[in-house]
Amino acid sequence: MKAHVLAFVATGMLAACSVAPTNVAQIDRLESVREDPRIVMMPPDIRYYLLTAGGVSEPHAEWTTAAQENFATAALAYTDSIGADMTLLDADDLSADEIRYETLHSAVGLTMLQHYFFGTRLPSKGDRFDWSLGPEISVIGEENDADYALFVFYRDYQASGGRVGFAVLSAVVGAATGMGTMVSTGSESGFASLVDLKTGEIVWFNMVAAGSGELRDKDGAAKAVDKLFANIPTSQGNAEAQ
Amino acid sequence: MRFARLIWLASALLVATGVSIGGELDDITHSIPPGYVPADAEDEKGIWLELEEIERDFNKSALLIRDPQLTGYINEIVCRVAGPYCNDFRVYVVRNPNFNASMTATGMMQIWTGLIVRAESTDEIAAVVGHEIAHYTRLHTLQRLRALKKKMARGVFLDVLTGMPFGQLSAMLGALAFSREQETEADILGVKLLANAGFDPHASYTVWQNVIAEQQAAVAKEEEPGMFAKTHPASEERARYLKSWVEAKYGPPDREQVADEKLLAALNSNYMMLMEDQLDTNRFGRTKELLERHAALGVDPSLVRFFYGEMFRQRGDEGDAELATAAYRHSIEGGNPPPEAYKNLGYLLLKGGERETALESFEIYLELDPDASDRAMIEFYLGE
Repeated sequence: MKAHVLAFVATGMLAACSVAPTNVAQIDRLESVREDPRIVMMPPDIRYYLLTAGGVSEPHAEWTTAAQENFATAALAYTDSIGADMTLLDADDLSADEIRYETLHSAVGLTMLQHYFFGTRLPSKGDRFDWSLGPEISVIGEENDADYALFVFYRDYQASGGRVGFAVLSAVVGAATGMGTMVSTGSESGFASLVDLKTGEIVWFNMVAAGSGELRDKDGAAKAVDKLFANIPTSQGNAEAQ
Repeated sequence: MRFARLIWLASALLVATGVSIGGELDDITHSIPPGYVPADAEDEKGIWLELEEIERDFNKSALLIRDPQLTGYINEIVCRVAGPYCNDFRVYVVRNPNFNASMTATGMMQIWTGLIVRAESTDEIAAVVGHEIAHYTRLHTLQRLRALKKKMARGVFLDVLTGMPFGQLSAMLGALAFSREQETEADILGVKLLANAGFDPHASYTVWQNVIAEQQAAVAKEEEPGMFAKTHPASEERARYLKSWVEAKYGPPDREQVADEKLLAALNSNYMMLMEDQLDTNRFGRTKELLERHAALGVDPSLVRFFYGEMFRQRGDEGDAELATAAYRHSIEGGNPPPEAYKNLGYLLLKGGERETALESFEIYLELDPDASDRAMIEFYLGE
């Protein structure tokens, strides 16, 4: 329950302040004892909601399913194109450990938004970026024979026609009377983390907000993936430098 | 789901109101048939997908009890209360010491161990189960979402016109009232399911009376602020109207709630886990109330007394060491003490300077539990 409120607040902040720094890269290239560093991608945690006229967010099955599928396809195509060795885990076939870390990542990621990128810094951390999922995550590396794990969290609230109507009406009334009511017309935001499976440290983090993409169609998902993974490190170095 | 949180957030504003039971409640019945599948509506499909994803992951939670004896006992209760709806539910017994149960729109039912440890009878567990099933068969989640959408749309419209937030505020209060109505519906339909399945309908309010007794014990010990209990009479209100409705419909109770053999077996064979979790909450007034209840129900006296010892030892106030020592000895006298009774008695005796008796106690502990994880530690004391 708490996590959801946090997600709402944090993604709200994300949507509101898209000019803030949104990317941290702790490493330039992936390291591995094997020839090719291997990444395991957790099933992307993506949900689409309809923002009803009254501002209630209603989970939308068709959009969510399409977005999850399109994103996965686009992500695999992208990593293929930059020559990264990545496998995607099946959401229906996760181990208990994988589920735990997926949940932990959402919590840590949202906390980072709140206490690193926006809001107040934690006194104990200051300006350091040393967020971690803990070294015990090595179990995920062993289960999947991988060096890094890639986590994705994405939420999209699409305003209904009624909602947009209220927003327009509010602007008109506000202009006429000087007394306005905020009517949000939805938001889209998300973030991705690359985690070192030996140490648990988040070695790369990127977030995207307003205008980050339309995951419900294939082209939109490809564009969103380009943005979200823009400078993800590879074995040859930073992807953007390629 | 955000709409649920919205109700939740606004509940801080809730002022308790009386619930009136009208004739229409007598006619409450299921809204959907057994084997229900979601209708082809966007909102309902959305709810189902989100809940199915949650359940898929929840299935692998480390907090789920997988012991077939305990889950079998709970499943049997659910099936009996659910009748023809039995196959619509997946029942998860969750390791959590708080008093709770829940049901999703998809039929995923959670029963927390804190509910089992508080039950005086199988009927009381069945009473909570009946309430949860009624939420499901009345499509309460979906109805709540739809009502909220309607109320909030009206509220926003009003606020846009007036430039003030009262429309949305009143919509949220309206949503709260709606969800209280649903609780009452579930209470009443739940009692009917309970009675139809041959359970004692009076258990529907005794279960709340127990919750109140426990709250009062906690307040009397000044462990929890009394203000909250006094200004938050939801349990009392519920116990009161259920009692009057049940007595009007089924007559006065002809007996007290009693623990049947199955409940006692479930409590006895899981007592260590159940009460260790309860102790971890650090709420001694509540723990003591539960121990008194268990002693009266007929839970194995050695086990109950052992946890009196644990409770005093953990609290560690003046004189608690003596009380704990006596409780462990009492547990041993009961004839079926857990091995830890000897170990913890040994530690207390050692501290009190009774070295010889302490070592005897440690020896018995190792005899009873040769594979104890702290064997090396105990042997160290024995060898000193």
